[in-house]
Amino acid sequence: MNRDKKVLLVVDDNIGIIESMDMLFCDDYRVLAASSVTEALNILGGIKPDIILLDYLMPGLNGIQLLREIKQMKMASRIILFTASVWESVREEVMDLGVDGFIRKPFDIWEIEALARGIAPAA
Amino acid sequence: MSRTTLQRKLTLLFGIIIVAVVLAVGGITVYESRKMLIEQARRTGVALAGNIAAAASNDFFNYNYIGLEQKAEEAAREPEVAYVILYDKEGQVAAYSGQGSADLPDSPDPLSAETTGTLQIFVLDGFIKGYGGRGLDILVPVTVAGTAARWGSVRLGLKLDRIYRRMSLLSWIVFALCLVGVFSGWAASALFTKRITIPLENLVGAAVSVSEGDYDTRIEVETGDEVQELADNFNWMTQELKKQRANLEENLDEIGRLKHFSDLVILSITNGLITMDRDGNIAAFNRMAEKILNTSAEKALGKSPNQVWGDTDAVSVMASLLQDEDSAGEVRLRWPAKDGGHRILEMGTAVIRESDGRAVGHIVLFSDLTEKKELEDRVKRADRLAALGTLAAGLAHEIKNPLTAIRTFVQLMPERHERPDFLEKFNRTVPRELDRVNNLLEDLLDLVRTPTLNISRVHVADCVGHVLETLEPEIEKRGVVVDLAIDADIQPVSADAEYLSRAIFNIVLNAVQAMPQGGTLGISSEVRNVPGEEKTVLINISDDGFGILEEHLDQIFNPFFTDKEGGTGLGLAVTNKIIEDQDGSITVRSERGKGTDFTISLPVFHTR
Repeated sequence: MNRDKKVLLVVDDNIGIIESMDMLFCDDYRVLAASSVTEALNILGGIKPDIILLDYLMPGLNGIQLLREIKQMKMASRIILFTASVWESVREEVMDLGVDGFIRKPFDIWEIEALARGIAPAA
Repeated sequence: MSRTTLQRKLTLLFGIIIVAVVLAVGGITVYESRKMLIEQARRTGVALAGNIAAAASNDFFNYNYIGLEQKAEEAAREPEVAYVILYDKEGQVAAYSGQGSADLPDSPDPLSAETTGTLQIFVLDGFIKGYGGRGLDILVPVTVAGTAARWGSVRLGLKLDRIYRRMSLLSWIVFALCLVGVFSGWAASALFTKRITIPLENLVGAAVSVSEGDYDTRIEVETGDEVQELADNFNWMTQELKKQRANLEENLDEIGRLKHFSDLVILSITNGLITMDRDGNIAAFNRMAEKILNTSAEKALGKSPNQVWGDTDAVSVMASLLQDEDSAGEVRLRWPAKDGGHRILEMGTAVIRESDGRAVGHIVLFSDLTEKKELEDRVKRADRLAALGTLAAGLAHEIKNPLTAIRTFVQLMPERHERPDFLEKFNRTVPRELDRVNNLLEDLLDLVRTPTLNISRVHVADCVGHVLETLEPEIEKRGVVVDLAIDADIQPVSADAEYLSRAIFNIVLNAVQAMPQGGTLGISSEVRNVPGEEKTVLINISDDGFGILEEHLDQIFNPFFTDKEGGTGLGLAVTNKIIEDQDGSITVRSERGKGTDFTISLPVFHTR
């Protein structure tokens, strides 16, 4: 594994999302995965990812709570929030919290790839 | 007027008493004075005659008629003496003070020969002829000392005119005094009467004022007697009356206010209200009743429902409610509306009873449910749409995740299909995600379809055993200890064995998944037998895993609610439906960090 690769953390409770994002980004980024907010916080204790792909709605602590934690930790990580939710109000809520990208599932892979490369170009 | 009469009566009474007393005193005085004066005159006359007799005794003894004549004339010179006659012992006139025999008074009968022959003294009160007025005719015997024989008699006429004049004067004085006494007595009695009657008159006047409503009337009497006592009592009584009156007025005001208030309550009550008297005629009819029944109170009051609305179905329903004396009835009925349609009324009746339980009428209370029911229908439709929206959103959320994964792999296919790691992950992920979508749809269908249940005699122990067998790998993987306490002899339940197993499976799986680091899975059963309730079997499934947040407890049976990573949120919704379809129920208790406790309750099987 190339140590110079930028780090991308996927936080989602769906194993399918983690597997597909890993497949999509594994060539250009070092991909880490967390299936819950608690797990993500464990990882963030040691590693500062360049990009975090964060699911909005998760059981237990949800994406918004993790987002607040990350903002409080004043981390430099760029955050892309994605959601399967159909509610329109989600976008306003997360934009107010200061995310770098917002994308709804199911998304086009080129769309999320462009978004990721735009905010944190692969080395 | 009666008060004048009282005064007059008293005055008259006192007057009569005073006149009688004064007249009696006056009469007695005059009578006694006269008696005394006459007696005095008699004694004087007798003494005078005695003196003459004593002086003339020698002349009688010596038959000295000249001496006798002298003595008679001498004696007659006394102004009070009218005449003096001296008789000899034969009763013949021996001397006479008068001027001739013509003047000689007649010998009054008692003083005739018979009397002149005795030694007694005679006094005769009468009219003296010779003198021409009233006088005393006195005859005194003449005796000579040393002899017992009568030698002659002295007859003396004593004038009484002076005495009569004095007596007349005295009578006038007494009369005058009587008049003064009568008048002053009359005046005194009038004053005295007034003294009694004036306070009484005041009392009467005060009583009239009080009777006309002036309770501030007071009588000031300082007589210190019963009249004052009466006045004081009157004043006290007036004060009491005033207080009572004030209380009464206050009570009347209060009653008036209450009446007004209850009238307002009846009028303003937002339900329709009719009261009926004992004869079934309408006694009260409030504004809302006018509006709902589209009938004016004026038209309804005093009449029976039949008279007001005719013999309609609604009226007969009302009548049947009213006939139910014992209990308050309540019913929904359709009341004809003026547009030809119907209004839906909810109507209740109650019997109005006196405190002794006697029925005195009825209350009919009703409300118009027409709009409420329309609103309810609208809300139900909206609720259905909202529920559908929530369901659709939940479903979309659950499908979009696998779709995202599948789409990513599909889009990467053209450029990576030759890479073995891609193909390997493709083959693992895509079918699984497709299955996930399919399972999701199956669960959803389970949730909405009405299953064909095969209800039979089911032993809980069999179902639990089957579930534990299936889940054994999951249990072992996590190192979960099973604490099984199912009584093998417990009464069978009435259920569909396959569906019950699915329900138990879902709950046990949740419990096991809640203990990734191991723990204790408890499964037990008991019979619940509460009098008056159906006998049931309780299946209790507990874990000491994560537990459920309190605020999530009432949502866990909602479709698409999940607090489990990768959960669809349909498991418990389906489980709940399965159990309810079998006439059972599920309850849950949980504490975050301590574990969760599910209890399935199912009716005991019994052959009918």
